[in-house]
Amino acid sequence: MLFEVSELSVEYQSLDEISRAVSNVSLEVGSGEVVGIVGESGCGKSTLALALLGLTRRNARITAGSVRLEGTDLVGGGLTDKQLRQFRGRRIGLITQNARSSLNPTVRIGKQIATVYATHTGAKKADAKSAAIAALRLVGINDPEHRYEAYPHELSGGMAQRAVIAMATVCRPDVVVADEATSRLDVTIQAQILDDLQRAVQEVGSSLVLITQDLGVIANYADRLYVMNAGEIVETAPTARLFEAPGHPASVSLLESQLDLSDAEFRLRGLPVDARKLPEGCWLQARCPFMDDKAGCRTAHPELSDVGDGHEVRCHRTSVVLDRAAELTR
Amino acid sequence: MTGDPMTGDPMTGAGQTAPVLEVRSLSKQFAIRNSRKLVHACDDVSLELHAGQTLGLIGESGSGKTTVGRCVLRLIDPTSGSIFLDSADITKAGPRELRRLRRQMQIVFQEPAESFNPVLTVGSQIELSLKVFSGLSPAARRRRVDDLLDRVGVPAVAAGLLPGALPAGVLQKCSIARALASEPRLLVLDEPTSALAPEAEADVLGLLTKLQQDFGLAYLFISHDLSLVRSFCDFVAVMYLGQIVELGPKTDVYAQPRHPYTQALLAAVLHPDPRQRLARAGRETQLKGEIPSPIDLPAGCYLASRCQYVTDRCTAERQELIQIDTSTVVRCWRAGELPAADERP
Repeated sequence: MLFEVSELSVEYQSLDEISRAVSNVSLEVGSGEVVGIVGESGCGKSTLALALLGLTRRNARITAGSVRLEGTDLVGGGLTDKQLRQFRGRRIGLITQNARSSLNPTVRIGKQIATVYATHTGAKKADAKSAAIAALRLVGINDPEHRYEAYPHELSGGMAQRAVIAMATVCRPDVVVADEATSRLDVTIQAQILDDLQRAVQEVGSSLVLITQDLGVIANYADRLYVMNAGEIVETAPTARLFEAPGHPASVSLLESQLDLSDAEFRLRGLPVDARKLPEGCWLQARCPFMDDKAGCRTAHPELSDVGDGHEVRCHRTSVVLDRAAELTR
Repeated sequence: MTGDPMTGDPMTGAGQTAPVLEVRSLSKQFAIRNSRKLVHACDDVSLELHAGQTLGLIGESGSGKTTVGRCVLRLIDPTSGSIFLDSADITKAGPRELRRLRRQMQIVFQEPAESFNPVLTVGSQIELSLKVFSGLSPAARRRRVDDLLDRVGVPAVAAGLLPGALPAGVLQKCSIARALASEPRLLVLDEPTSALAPEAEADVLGLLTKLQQDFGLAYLFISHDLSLVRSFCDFVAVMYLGQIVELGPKTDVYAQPRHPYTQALLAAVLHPDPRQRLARAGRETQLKGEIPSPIDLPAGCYLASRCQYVTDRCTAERQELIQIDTSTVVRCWRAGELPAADERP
């Protein structure tokens, strides 16, 4: 497997409390694949996005697990910062939500992209410049020779996001991680940019990890997806399959909340579970409309179990959820 | 739409009562420093809003939605046009008159954390509004702050806290409480939930719906979120480059969009349905490029450079609003002859 995360956990430390943002996450991304990671806000998506590059925020740390790119472990492999920098930017690219904050406001965008290229490849100045121009062209920027000279503030939000995509793809990385890359953009620009991003990663042969809470983005671009809740993977399946037959209450709730339905029959109630005090049993028990004592929801933490065709669900009540959800998706 | 007897029509005024808000041919241009050029932020905007109704103002960033909202409150002065609040023209009001009128109209901003002073308690900031707009004694004001918080479902302890101590959703409810302090008839809601997580968003929208039912408030709801406007508003006005290009009852505009821009806007929404991916495959997006500059505007229709239905007339002649049926207006010469928008898969 090209990119393989296994049993990864990330914890935030504040004063004397520890909250577990990412718990035992395992996932795989094949070569050239587009994989979605979806979940409500606060479910640990962005913490996971950083951890995929072996990064954490200052008050967090990766406590267990591995992130392997073609076998090399980026988190537990004892790599030095210098060695890690050979991976970040060069073999794994990151695109974050706020494009402008990923760009240096005082440096022309073309120069910023060329610098990334030159730093990682040791290319000469002229070669780096032409690589940057090619990368800008690839993400749908017209007249890239001219745009090369622009400062970030001279670009619209959509153009700035395209420049960041160009920066993430200029070194032809193996994997590009896009964390809510288009969620702040207008609807008309969103699809154009995702189309450009999809084309760019195909062209350079990268795999793409799309992290979002928007199921519309997942449905239109991801081949396969993982659903996160309370820091865990609670369901994974090929995209069409999951939209047809969601098997976890968290997936059903997400789907229902984005389908323009007036009734909220299957919606999770209340706020996400407090990650400092995870309960015994299923972490969703207090919010779940399918909760059943007899099924063990309060006593046993469910494991991911295979329901066939690459579809795995972490729920004691999967068969009931699958039946009821069929009504919703019909 | 509800069966409210006050339901009227925002363009024709077919309702039984006078509108709370009426905007006629509103235009606003901003001067550019060291230049003779102007930014045309909004151009010939007309609309009506009745008590108990919500009008959604949608469009891409830079389309002039917020400028309309600010002119309506006269936070900025319009260049031309008139704005009537309960039949009083606020564009002609002097400072004293304006202060009286402001009581009737309030605004809720996008970012609750930025619309409160971070070093003053939430309660004192709501109280300030009471101090300005009511003749209440200090003790009565504090009781009223508790009432207002109760009305928006926020526990009274929040009054003594700093804004930073409250989650964004709760703080946004506090800013709604502050807006209600003067007992307004009209609220301008400028992207009131776009900074909130989905759960908090649902919560705030539920509150706004309830307040509207209880007090018959009129809402001018500014948003770029098409599905939000669909679920929350009675009427919708679609803006493009400062102009309203289509205005009508929500159900009509969403079911049968007439303007090429509205059609493209709705077609660009990514639905949570993998079948759309197949339907989209190999097909070009309807709208190319980005919104043009509002400085050097084209002579004809503003959409002409991006529109697939463009004709010579579109580029040559200024595009006026055309009445399509009793309740819908569209700014497109070809609105009657265009093919229906693609159905959702």
